Order: sequence, then structure tokens, then C-alpha cells
Amino acid sequence: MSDTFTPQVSALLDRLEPPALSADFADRLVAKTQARPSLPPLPPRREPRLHRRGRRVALAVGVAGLVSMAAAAAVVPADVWRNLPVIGGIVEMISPARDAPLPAPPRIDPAPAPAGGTEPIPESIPVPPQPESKPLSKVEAAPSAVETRQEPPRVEAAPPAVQSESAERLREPLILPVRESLTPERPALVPAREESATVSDRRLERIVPPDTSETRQQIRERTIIRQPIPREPIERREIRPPSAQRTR
Amino acid sequence: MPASETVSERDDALMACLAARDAAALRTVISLYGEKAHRIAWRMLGDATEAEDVAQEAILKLWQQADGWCAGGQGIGPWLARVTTNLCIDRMRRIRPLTGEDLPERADEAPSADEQFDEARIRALTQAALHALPDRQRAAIVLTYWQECSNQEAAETLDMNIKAFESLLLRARKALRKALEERDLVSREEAE
Repeated sequence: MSDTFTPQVSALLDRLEPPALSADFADRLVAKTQARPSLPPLPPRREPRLHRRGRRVALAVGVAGLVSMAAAAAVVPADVWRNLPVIGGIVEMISPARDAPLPAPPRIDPAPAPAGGTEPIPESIPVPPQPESKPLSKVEAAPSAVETRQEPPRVEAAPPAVQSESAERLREPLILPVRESLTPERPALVPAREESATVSDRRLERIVPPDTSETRQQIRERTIIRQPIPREPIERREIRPPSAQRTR
Repeated sequence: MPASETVSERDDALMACLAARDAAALRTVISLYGEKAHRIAWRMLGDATEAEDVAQEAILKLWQQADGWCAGGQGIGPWLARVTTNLCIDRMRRIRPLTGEDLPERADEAPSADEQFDEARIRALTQAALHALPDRQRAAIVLTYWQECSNQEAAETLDMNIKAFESLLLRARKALRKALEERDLVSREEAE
């Protein structure tokens, strides 16, 4: 197929002769140019103020929506803003926290050491292995202080004396320090303590005369409380820096 | 090429006069290039009145943009051809295309009138075949066949690269030949 037209096609195209321009074409054109002087270019069109403001509002709403979506996608808790340095103050001012911080639990000082006037414990007293005593990890099974306070008030069925005692307990702070909850005076520890005490009593009766009940009581408490925890011997090794190991 | 340099220098001088709002220079430009713009517009649009409007609009654009004329270019002719072609393409997208239904009716049964009718009919059918082409294909035919532009010049006029224009021109020629065959103006054997 050729790139040019055949003679027949060319002959057809040559028949398309345009008509001549009208005689007054130049005059009309010159008249138009004289009647319409060229104007300076218009300044760039500026949008109305309402549109600009609306665009800003829409942009702000869009940005806020994106931030909210991002926070929701990242599972950011609502109170995380309160921890930020500046934003936290603003958030606190706008919407103060509903829950006031709980008062600090009362500090419980450890019990004072017994006076030096007590009788020394004889070293010949053997330490019982206490196979029946429960380890401390089983204390976890006992309900915590908070859970005990949050249980439904069973004291209604209890005698009036117990009810008054429970009411006084409810006035105390709900959260107690962990140390207090683990002290031997807790009810959950009482059975283990009494079991070990029973074993110790039998041994003490062989050493200390039964009439010195006060002395025996003191010895028994010390034996139970200050009983050393058996530990595995620590292997002592020389610690060398890693660089020295590598070079060696 | 001293002749083209002379034309380019003459066009630059004319444009400087147009920038100074010289009406005599405008008349010179019209006498030199008005006919060319009108021919392009008529072959693209197929209507004398529309073609005059387009030619006038193109020369008015030249008058208004005389301040920004870059001297040392190709001259007024290619610039005017490009502007006229683009104006025609814009206008063709707005107006109803010319179809074979616009053919003149038989007015007289006399033999002389019959000959005249045949001539008018052939011209109308050829023009209808040309207007059946897409806008850019028609512009490619007009620029290369009637305006005798080179492929490079026509590609610059249509703002295309040379390879794309050559492809466009090939498709335009095939389409025009097929349109003429459909109107029984060209025999299929002769075309092949």
C-alpha cells in the first residue's frame, strides 16, 4: 500500500478549491482591531472569602478525622493525651478526669525489733523441715484484699458484732499495700503458721520446761518467723570481660 | 537558505510593527497570510463563513500577541497555520459535522444543469468523505496535501512527534480512501 494518494484520489481532492475571501475581509479585521484595543491582562482570579474559609474548615475537619482514625487504628487509649506535657494540661482543663486519684495507702512501719532483754535462743534448737507448711506461692489462691472488699456484703447474715466490724473495715482504704496483704497475720496464713507451731511446740516441750509459758511463746514466734529460707549454695566464678574471652 | 531568512526577517519586522499597533502592517499581514489561513479553515470546516471567522480570529490572535513575538523563529506562516488548525479543531468539536445528507438537490433536468450537478455532487461527496475523518486525521491531510507542509512541519503544527504524525497520516490516507470507495468515487481495484 503506497503512502501517497493515487491519481484518481488526487484529482478528487484537487476539485476542492476554496472560495475567495470576501472583499472587505481586511477592512473588517482592521476595524475590529481599532475598535477593540488590547487590554492589559487581568489579574489572577481570587476566590471569594467564603470559599476560602470553607476550604479551611473542610481541611481542618479532614485532618481531625484522619488523626482520629489513626488513633483508633493504633488502639490508643483515651487517657493517653493526659500524659503529654502540654496537651495533657489542655485536655485536663477541657474535660477533667472523672476519677480522682486514690489516696496513698498508709505507710506501715515494720514492727520494732524486740528489746535486747529477751532471752537468747539456744543454738541447739533444731530447725524443723516443715514439710506440712505451705509455700508462699500458694497464698495466691487466697482472695486479695481488694477482692474481699468488693464481694457482696455477706455481713448482712452475720451477727451484729461482725457487721459493725465489717462496716469499719469498709471505711478503710480499699487498696492495701502488698506487704500488708502478705504479712503472717492474714487469715490465709494462719493455718500454716499454726501447723508449724504445733510441730515446734512438741520439740520445745522437750527442751524448755512447760511452766515457762511466756518464754516458750517468745521462742516459738521467733522460730517460726525468723526461720531461714534454705538456699542453694552460690557458685562463685571469676567474671571476665567479653573482650578478654575473644582475644583468648 | 537566504529566501527563508528573508521571509523570517520580514516577518519579524512585521511583527514589530504589529506590536507598535501599526494598521498598515496589519493589512500587509492580511494580504500575505489571510488567504492561507482561510484555505486551511475552509478545507477543515467546509463552510466559507465559518472559515472566514476562523481566519479572522487567528489574525486577531496574532495582533494581540505581537508583544510576545520571539524573533528568529519560523515566521508568521507556520504560526498562523498552527493557530488556524487548532481553532478549526475546536470549532469542529462544537458544530454538527457535515454529512452526505447535505448534498444539493437536483434543481434542473436540463443537460447543462446535469453536468453542473455532477460536478457539485462529486465535490460535495469528496468533501463529505474528507469530513468523515477524525479531526486530527483531517488536519494531517489538509496540511500535507494542500498546504504542502513537510511531515516535520505538520507534526510541529499539530504538536506531535514525527513518528506519531507519520502513523496518523498513514491512517488518515487509508481512511480517506475507504471513505471515497464507500461513496463510489474511487473504484476498489484502482485504489488497491
